[in-house]
Amino acid sequence: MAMTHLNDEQFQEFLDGGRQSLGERLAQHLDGCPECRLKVAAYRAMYRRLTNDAGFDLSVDFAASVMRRVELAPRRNPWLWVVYPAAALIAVVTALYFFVDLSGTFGRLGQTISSITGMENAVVNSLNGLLEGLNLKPSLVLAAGGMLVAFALLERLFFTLRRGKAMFFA
Amino acid sequence: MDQDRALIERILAGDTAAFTEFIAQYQRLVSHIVYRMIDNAADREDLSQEVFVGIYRGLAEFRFESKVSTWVGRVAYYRCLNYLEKMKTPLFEDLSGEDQTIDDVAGPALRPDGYAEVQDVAARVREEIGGLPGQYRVIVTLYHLDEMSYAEIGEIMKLPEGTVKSYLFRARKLLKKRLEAKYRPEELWR
Ligand SMILES: [Zn+2]
Repeated sequence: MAMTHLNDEQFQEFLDGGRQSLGERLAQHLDGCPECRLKVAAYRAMYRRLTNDAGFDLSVDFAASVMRRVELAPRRNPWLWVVYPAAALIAVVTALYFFVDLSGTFGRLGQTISSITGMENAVVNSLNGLLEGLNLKPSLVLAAGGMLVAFALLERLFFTLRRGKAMFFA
Repeated sequence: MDQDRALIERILAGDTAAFTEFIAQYQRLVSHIVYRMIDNAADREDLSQEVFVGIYRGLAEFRFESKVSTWVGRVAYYRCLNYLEKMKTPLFEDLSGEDQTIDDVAGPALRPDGYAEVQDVAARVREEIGGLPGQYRVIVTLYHLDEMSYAEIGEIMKLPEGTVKSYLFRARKLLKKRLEAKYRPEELWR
């Protein structure tokens, strides 16, 4: 064995990539050199330890714990940006409808829209027609919508507060 | 990959059982990274949970540009880095120099022959891994336990493949040196 022994990098190359990663000359040296073979054996034993390493145990109810936290932290839904402001608007309108007499304002607003669009009462009529067809009163629909919205907002607020994160749309 | 995609689509559709399945599939990988990076045992479980909560929330934004395992690994790695930063524990020791010499980490008591008693080789090896620089620990673990390629590890840690390889080689060399300095090779490598 006139040739120099393999170095640490070469032992590792051999164990990671096999004989061909060493090249013929080095591979032949390894075949015939007891000293290098001993060192390869030590590296191989260490590799075995690394591959069988243990002690990473998470708790038995790990998945359940994550699920609990996930339920408290709903997945970000891009639609929330539309749904919640829209919901808030409906809630405000509902409240105003019930507590403030705005018929005059709405009447004027209605006239303005009609005159702008020139559609007269086509939209309003078809909407009313639909509601009548379903046997529902417009005020009832508004009230139900408002309550749903209020509930959604409260629920949202409750969870965001409990998580200690941003107030809305977190 | 297709299986992963199907699983993620089920989760996005609101199937909670699918996310439990997802956790079961990747909790090993997450625990490997968290345990290797975080010394404080009390925080590991909580951090691992946070990793999955973060994954759940970011799931809709995942574009399948990388393997799911690489993405999960990256979330875990960066969550840990974040934690270490907050705790002011540097993970990035200066690895630019040549191999560190065998340091004076307090080791086990020595026998008359100058070597320490080997009781549980696995425990000794684990202890020595814990003494390696943070990035070395993660790379050794991802390579040997999770059978990841240099490219995948590089993607997780945002390191070039060549750096991953050279860190891996230096880590194993250092680990072997330190172990052999403390224990008789023939007992250690039985
Ligand atoms: Zn040799």
